[in-house]
Amino acid sequence: MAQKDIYRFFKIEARELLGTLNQGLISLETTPEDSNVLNKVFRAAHTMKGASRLVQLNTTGEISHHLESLLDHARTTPLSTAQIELCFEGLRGIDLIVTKLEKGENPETDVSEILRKFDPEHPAALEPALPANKTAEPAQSAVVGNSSGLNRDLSLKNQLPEPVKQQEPQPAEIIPAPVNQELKTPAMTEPAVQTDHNHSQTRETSAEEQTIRVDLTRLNTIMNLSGELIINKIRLENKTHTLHEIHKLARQASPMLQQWQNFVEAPELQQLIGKSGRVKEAVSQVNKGLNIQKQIQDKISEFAEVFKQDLKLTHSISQGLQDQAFKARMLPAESLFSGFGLMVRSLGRELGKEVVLEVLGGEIEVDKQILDDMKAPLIHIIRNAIDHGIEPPEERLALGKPPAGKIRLTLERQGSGFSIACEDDGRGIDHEKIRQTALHRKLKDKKQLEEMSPRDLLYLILAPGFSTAEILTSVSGRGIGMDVVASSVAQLKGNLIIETKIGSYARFIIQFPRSLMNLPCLFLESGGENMLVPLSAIAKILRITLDDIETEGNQEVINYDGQVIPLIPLNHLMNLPGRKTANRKRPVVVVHSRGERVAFAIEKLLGIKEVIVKNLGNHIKKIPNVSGATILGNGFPVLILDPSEMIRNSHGVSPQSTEPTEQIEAKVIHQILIVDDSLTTRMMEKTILESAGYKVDLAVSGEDALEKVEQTSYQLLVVDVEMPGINGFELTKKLKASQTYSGVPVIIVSSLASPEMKRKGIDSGANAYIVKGEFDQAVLLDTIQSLIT
Amino acid sequence: MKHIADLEQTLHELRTSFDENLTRPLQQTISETRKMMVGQFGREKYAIDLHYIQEIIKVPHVTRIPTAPVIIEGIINLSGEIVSVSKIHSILRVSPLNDEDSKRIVITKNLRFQTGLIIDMVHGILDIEVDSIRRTSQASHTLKNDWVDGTLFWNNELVILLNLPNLLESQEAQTG
Repeated sequence: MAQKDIYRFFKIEARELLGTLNQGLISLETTPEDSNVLNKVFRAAHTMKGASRLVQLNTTGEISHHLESLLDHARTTPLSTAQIELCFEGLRGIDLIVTKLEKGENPETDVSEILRKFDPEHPAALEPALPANKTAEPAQSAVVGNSSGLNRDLSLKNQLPEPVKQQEPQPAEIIPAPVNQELKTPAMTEPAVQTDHNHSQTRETSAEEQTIRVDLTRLNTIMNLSGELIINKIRLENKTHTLHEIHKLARQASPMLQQWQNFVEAPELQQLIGKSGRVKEAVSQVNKGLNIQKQIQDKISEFAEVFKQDLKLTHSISQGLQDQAFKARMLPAESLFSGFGLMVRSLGRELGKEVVLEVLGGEIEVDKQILDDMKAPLIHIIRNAIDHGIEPPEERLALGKPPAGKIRLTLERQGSGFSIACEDDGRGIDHEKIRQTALHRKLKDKKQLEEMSPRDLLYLILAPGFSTAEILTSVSGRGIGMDVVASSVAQLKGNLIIETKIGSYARFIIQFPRSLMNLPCLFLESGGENMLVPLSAIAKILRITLDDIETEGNQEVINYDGQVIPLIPLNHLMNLPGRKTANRKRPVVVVHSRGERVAFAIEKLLGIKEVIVKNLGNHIKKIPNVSGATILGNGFPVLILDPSEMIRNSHGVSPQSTEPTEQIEAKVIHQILIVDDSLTTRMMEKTILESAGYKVDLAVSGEDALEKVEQTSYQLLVVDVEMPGINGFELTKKLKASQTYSGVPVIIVSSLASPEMKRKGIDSGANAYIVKGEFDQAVLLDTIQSLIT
Repeated sequence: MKHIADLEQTLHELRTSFDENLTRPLQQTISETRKMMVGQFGREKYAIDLHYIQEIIKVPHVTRIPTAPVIIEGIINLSGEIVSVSKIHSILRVSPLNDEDSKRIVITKNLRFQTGLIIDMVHGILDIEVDSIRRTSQASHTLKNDWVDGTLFWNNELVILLNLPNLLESQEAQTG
């Protein structure tokens, strides 16, 4: 099983590379100096070498290694015809092995004949001597070592009972490093049986999973079209509404029809009708028309019914189509992980370390694109772990650790997304070392480094220019750096988290939405625009009042989960104007990324949507805080925000201008006086106003109120009408007549709803008149807000 | 710094001549015609070679991107794909007309990127004789010289033939 998985992608890739090599060599025959072709061919050979080594197919690896050197050489001295012929010979060798793999046969092939021809000192010679000299020597022995490994593998398979072998996901891991001596015998004696057995088994499995390669853009087109189909279906559904209206209209005519028939069928009328031929004719015409009308009505009902059924069917078909199109991109993660086992083992050996790879969650299906794009970054992280993380066995023993280091790759579902974690039980990442390197690389100065939190320091290893050959060995220094890892993760809208404990572990966690294309999002409104935020980045949705907002330095903050986190109005981050909301309880979305959390104030929550992520077209390069867009059911595009960028950019949002209207206004706390003789009303109004952030005083009567306004200057009064002593109207008149309170708004709240009373209230100078019966807190708050600002 | 500027200048000239050769292969032949769309940005009339036009559509719902560069008006749904909408009025130094009904979006093609240009009015598609296109000096218009391929007369009015690749890939039209 695992063997098959290992070669699965190699077969495809090797086929393509063979094609490239073949074509390139043909054209080099005529134009040997063409550097473009030469580069292309060289790269193909190089990739072939890398791919072969990853699947530990050293036969093809060696051939491509020789091809590569030859082609490298050809950059200075054009290839001779004999050399090109030699290259073709090499290709034939690789082709033979790949063909064996494709047929499900044992790829074991003796390539020494071909390799010998590549030997620079014996060009195309047929000398029987083994090339046990020159530069090729270590590589050659590696071939032997490996072929032994393969043989041993096979013999092991034979010894093990079948079911056990099939359940073992990574047989490579359980195989101890091959001992060269013991191998030849079983391999020589048993191959016939073994290959046969292996053969039939692989045949079986390859039949059940026939695959073709499809251009990703085509797959995406299918996705788009299925998306369009769904949008169109929604349009059709809206049409049923019209149909229902027609149906209803038609039905309304039904009783009239009945009445008419009763009317004309009455005997006395029949007599009358019988007397005039013209009337009779007219009646029969009307009857005919009515009959047709009835038929239309029946047909409409019938049609509506059938249409509904068809729509249902269309719905399930288009949904199914979309699901399948999604699934067409999904593969079990195992197909990616299975190649790593061999790599870990051989790399460990190379560095004199014992390493075991443990894989969890390989059965989870993941978008093919993510798998492909994650391959290089994961290889880099694993290499780092083996190279820098895992200690040599002696050191581990001295530390009381088991001699074999362990690297654990864990794929888990996480909410609506998934994460890949790579954890080693080695040295961990030393902050001091990071500091030194950063200083040395001039990424930061000493003072900056001292001020950095340990966490920020850790993420410094992702900075461009950090991983360099100087601090990394040849193993992990090769290829790509951690900055490239970080950027490829970011490109896939993932999150990279680093956790470490010196002396015990280093953990790299890559978090992803499940599929690149199907992203569950929170649908919200801010600054009057609709937007989406990936659900995976949302820690919590809160509703806060102005009381919950505190100020720390220049920054507005809220308390969340025992932690003080910044509060930023999303509209400001997005350069949108603020909008006032009637709702005193503002929705706030807590977004988290890389362990940081920021609360964003929004206007409205519109729900949760699973959306298909699209890019913004090739014209727009990069827009701050935006990662892409989607097309909603109504056909309108909506932006999808980038949580990690939102958090990063929120640091720069200046707090002074964050909330041009509301928040600043909230800083000036308005004092309101409530005048009412009813305790219940007083307390109810007080609660409402206080929860909206106002400071509230109470007066039990008009007289009491007049006293209080002398002592404090209120920005607004809420006044009852019927009170003992001075009533609300008189109080209002008095206030409006006074110098200090003539401009202060007064709201009259009364149970008296008559227009006459309202006029009286307005005459008295009140700015608003709210009837208790229609009293509702939003109305009161809105009124207050409109009067105060 | 000066060398870099020189180098940039040379590279730019190279690219310009390259583009010119790409876009004007027909100018050497005689009485060849090219299909052009004639329309209006502001009050001025412009022609765009149909080679660069995929389609012309009515203005659909445009989702605005407030954090985007000024020339990006927003994005639209073009049969399932998202396409940016650009407003090049500011770089042409014209002010848009008020009539929303006559506005159209010209979807580009054969450029390094695809976008939809908001145009105030489309007059039609014309066959223009290459010979009738006059190479122009800077005097006849206020635009950068490499944005303009020439001028022509249509209905007794001056029409500026835009070089869309140069215009949209210019510094002024950069989208960050």
